[in-house]
Amino acid sequence: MNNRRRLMFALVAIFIVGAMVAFAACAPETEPEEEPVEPDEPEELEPQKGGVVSIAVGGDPHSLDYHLQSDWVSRQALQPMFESLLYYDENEELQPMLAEDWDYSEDGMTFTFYLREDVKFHDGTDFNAEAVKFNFDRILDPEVDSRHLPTFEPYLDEVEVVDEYTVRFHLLEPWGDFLGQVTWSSMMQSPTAIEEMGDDYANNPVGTGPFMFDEYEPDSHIDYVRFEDYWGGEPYLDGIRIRVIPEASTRVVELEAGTLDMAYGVEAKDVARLEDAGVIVEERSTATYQTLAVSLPDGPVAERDVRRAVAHAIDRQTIIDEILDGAAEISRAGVPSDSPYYSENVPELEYDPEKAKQLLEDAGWELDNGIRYKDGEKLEMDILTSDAEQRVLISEIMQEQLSRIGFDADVTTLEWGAYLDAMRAGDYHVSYWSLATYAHELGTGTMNLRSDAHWNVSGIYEHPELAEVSERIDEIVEEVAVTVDVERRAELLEEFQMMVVEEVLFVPMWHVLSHNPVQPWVHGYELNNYNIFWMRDAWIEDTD
Amino acid sequence: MQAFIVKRLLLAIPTLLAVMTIVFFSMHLAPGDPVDQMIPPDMEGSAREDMVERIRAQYGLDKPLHLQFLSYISRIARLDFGNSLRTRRAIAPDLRRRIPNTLQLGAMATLIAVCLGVTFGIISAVRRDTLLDNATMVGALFGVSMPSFFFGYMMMLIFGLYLRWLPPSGFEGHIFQWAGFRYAIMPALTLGTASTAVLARFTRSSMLDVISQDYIRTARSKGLGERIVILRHALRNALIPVITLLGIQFGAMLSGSVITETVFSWPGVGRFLIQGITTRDFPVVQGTTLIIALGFVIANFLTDLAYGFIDPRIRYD
Repeated sequence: MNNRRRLMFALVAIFIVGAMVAFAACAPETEPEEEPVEPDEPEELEPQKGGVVSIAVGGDPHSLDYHLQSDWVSRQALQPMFESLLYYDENEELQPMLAEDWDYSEDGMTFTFYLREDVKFHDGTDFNAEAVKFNFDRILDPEVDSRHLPTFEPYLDEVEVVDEYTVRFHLLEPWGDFLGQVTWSSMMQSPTAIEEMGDDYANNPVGTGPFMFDEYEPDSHIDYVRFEDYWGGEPYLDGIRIRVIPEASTRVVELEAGTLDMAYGVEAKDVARLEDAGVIVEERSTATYQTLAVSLPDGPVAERDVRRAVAHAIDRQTIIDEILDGAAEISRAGVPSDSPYYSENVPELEYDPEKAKQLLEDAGWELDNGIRYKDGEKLEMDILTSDAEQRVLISEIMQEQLSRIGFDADVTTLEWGAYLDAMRAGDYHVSYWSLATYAHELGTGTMNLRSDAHWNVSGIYEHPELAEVSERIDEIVEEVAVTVDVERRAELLEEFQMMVVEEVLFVPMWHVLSHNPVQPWVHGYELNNYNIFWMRDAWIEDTD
Repeated sequence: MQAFIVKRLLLAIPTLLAVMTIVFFSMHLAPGDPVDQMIPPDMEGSAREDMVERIRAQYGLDKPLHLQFLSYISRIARLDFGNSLRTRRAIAPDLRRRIPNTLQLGAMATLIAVCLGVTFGIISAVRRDTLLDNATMVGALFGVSMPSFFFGYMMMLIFGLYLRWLPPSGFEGHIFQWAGFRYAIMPALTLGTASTAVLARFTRSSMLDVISQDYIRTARSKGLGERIVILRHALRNALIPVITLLGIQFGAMLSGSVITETVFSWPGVGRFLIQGITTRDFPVVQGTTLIIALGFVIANFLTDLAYGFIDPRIRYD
């Protein structure tokens, strides 16, 4: 009896587990093959009117009032209803939007914008030079506590209304990145709506974009409807729904099920699966760069040859292929190849373990039982990482690769908050580190090595041998900040990249690519290099 | 009865104070600077030191910890939950919108857990050592041990993707209309599974206990029908410990909603908490945990009251 019971128990258990596993394993294949997606662009389709497109974002926007947020997710979520004076197109070129034309004085101290005359806000009021002034005055008002205040405050003196459709910006000092900032920090909101609604404005935002705000369910969705008086002509779509879907795997299921039309970001490992389901996945470079940050003042990495050996010992392509599913481009010196500031004059730190060993050998680090020593000191390497799975894997591979040339490498894993603390305190030798660089220029890259940067985790200014380099970087940052001329900026940033590689101030790793899935029935959208979908000309096929 | 209610409500105050104190200090003493989270390196890499200090001062994060704690307590006493560090929005309205969403999910899950769990438990106990009993208990074991993340995702694949019966995730208003209800089915099942399993196992053992009592034998020997014996004599007695468990399970469900809500994009309190924790958003974490603790206290209070209805022998004075 007892044996029979046990047998029964085992059989039932095996059956249930088996059924679950079978379902999990074979389920993706049981998906009935739908009609194959045309491999090439089909013959020109006629845009159709109607329909609502849903787009997934990874989090809830911080605020619907554009001036009160400055994070990427908010920007993606608010894009349908707001527009700025200028914008960057798919080729990274500045294009007119609410301003038809613009120019600036030779000294870079005044910028003049000539506005479109046919633009209306969603509340029916006119967009004009007064409205532009109102928006920037609001950003500069400390009472408002705009997230864009720190960006504009050091540079922007005053906005002058020249005439109804001409507006002039007077700067306190020349500002190289002013036009870039205008594209993304200065979305235009209706002065009338802001004044009339007061604190309630953030629940009823009003812009000039092709879609008007309709409804917001925090942490769930934002609904937009077509703005019929849009200056660029009536949009095709009836509306757009932005859906907050934090879990990447949930986004994938929604796309496969066809209940979601587009998404900002899926993981590289899911790309093939989505493509099998007929979803088009758009690959773009992101406004980030990944490095191996080095804590310069302490430990063996204080020696330049050791840093160089590290750079040559890491096989970046293998990590990209194995961990990032190929979704990254090797970085030369922190600038992606499609940036205007990319330079082939900067030497590459290629993968060459033999060279790495030789460098250590020449620097006096001698191998003994697999580990190198110099004057009794061990060649230690403390690889710090946050507990994000991908970062841990990358760190473990680097540990393996560094051990192969004689490092005594160790991986320390910390929770994100504790990790950031440790990074800022310099409690590490090297760490896989990801940074943002907007507008594909090296602004942030240089800034992270400037001595007063909050995220300067390198400690470069504490290293006696790097004092001069540190000073020069500070100078470059200062000069880049006030230089509008693209060529001069490129020169300065090339000098910076040279120093990075020469002194190995960090090991440039790669630039990750983003994957943005779109259903085959969505047409006419534009996706620029900062991962923003422009939906004003988008339309959907009637697929029933 | 009244004295009991007043006493219980007064006792809730030190409980909540303790929760607030523990959460406050564990958040503030854990490594991780909230200002770093407000200007993370992969977003605001260009922030300068002086800007950071300004933000720190603006949010009072530069003050000594005990002063921060006192001002926190005094604000809560005035029912002011403060503003989120991350979004700078007031927390109270955000919580107000999310609480009903989580409660709806929790209530639905509890209903599922009670209906299924108690039924399975009774069947198992009555049909002890049969195939049905074994299958139910194996299923229960499975339900308890399966991570809700996995179970939720499996359901999403089966019902959302392959069968296309239900929308994979999302939220479409309250569950009292079909449009909103169909979005709640899978998350509620996910949330209720573990509790169903726990309740089934517990009901079974409690029933087995009761069934072997003398008064059941008496009832049977009186010639009462088996159905009456089980439902009226055994079940009512067996349910008392089950109800205690139910109170605790409801609390567990509130915290379990953290994962379920994330998987199913459900805009509830659990997700709010997770966002708060990962971004070191102290006011959000403090406000949310306080609400969850309050939910726990209320659930236990209701449980105590429920004893009286189930078992007339229990008095509250």
